[in-house]
Amino acid sequence: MKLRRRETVSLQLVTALGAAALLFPFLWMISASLQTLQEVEAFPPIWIPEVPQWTNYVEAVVNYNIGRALLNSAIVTTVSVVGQLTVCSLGAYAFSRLRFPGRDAIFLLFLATMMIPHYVTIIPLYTMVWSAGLIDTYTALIFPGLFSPFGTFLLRQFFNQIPISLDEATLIDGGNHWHIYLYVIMPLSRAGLGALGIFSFLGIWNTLFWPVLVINSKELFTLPLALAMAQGQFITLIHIQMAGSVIACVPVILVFLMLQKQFISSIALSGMKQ
Amino acid sequence: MATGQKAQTISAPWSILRPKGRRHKDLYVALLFLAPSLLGLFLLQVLPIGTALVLGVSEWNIIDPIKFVGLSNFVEVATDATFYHTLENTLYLTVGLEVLNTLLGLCAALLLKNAMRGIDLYRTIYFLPLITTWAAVAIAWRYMYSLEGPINALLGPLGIDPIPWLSRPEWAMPAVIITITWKTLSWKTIILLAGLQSIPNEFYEASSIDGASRWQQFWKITLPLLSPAMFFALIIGIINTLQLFDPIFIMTDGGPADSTRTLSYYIYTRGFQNLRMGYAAALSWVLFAIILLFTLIQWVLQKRWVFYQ
Repeated sequence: MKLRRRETVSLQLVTALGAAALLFPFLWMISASLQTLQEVEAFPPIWIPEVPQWTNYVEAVVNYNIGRALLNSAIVTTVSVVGQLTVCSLGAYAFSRLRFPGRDAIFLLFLATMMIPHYVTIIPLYTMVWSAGLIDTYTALIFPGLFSPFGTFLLRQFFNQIPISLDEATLIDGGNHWHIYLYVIMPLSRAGLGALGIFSFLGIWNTLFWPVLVINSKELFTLPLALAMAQGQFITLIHIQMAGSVIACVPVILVFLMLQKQFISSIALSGMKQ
Repeated sequence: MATGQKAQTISAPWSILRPKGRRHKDLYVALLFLAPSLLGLFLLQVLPIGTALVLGVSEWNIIDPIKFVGLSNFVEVATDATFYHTLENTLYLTVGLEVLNTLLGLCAALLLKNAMRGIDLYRTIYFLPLITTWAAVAIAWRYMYSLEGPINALLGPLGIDPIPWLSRPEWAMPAVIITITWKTLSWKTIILLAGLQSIPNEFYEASSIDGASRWQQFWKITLPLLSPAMFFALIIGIINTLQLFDPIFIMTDGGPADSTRTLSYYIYTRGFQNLRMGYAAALSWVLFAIILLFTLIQWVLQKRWVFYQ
């Protein structure tokens, strides 16, 4: 469709207005994180701080547990994402490339569990973790992220698009399935691994519900949990909390900027995930 | 094939158990590749789902021994006034969110479809709320909603008196819906944008030669051809909405006066604040049944409005 010039200008204007509205909470967050307590409590609100208070960030990291929480989130997310990519790609390889009895039935079971809401499994999972004495441990934070039926499904779809003749060539050259997995399938599935990587990264980095249940001590708080708990404890220190919120958002925005294309095309492909 | 037969002739008597033929040739390799996934599936899905079935017919506060109580949890659900109240809240939230998200998501998709200057930057900005941490942005929204906060300050010049957003039952749910719309809108946009981009341009060209207006094109071409994507986004969107936790936990904790306590948040309340694991499990099965029912109803109704090419 060819647009006339006047239309292009008005389209651009509306798009820019929408962008401004969507950006507004972020801008307020950043502005509030740089204000003094007095400024942030002022009415009418102060939009731009007189002197940016960068020390708010230092204070959040050092005195309000955000530094430790950042470290915990980094550890939990890194281990979970690497683990999930490994477990899911191995499983997806079996479903895509191997023949064995009950393959389709097992795959169907994987798909069926995706229909069960999170709320059904999280109560028993909590009781399991509690009975195993794993409350307040890194293990409790990490192990639910190591496996995902959705991830297995997503990677299988990508693996299925790789021509089987490449496997056969590897077999003729004396390779085995391990070689095919490592040197053929994985290198050719960067888009799929990137997509699952960003889904699981965002999911685990942002998750609040599970840490709320299994973590009690401050030393093990992840960032979302630290932010949520700080809200209860230091309810009046808005500027410090906003500094913590900005710190939590920066890594996801950076990862998103790197992998934006994979992220958007995979949502369009699979419908995951809010 | 030849090597497989050779192996069989020299192997022990129990080799009769070994499956024959091409279909089975990869069984052992497959077990190795699948072992971590199967362990995960068992520990994180099969075992919890089985346990949830048991919990649903039990009374358990985690500390005392578990007690079998039959269907009494479900009988209690059926007569629980708070349950019906949370069901109403859930319906309010789901309908409000779907209407706003679909309308605004469609507008955003129609805007972002165009090749204009700076489109990559616009797209990035539109998708930012979706990816950022719920806990972080929900806290920001909570302060933005305060009586003397930035939102009321922006509404003031328009002649609107300060609104007690999160402190009054009648305003809390609209406030929560606005925030969740802001956060999840671009998920809808991505799905609808993909749908828009799959509509062949020839349809528009041919119809403009026939003299169709933009408005006619939108109703006769865009909407019908977009309906499969809208249907898909509706189903997944509702499933996601029914399971929301973070914004309610941060912004309202279900209040004031239970006005934002959704069914999923009620499950959390019963299970983890009142330590009634059995009752919470029963409620979670009710949630599952509702999701299933919603999806089935939409599946049946789709014949009336979804148009497949």
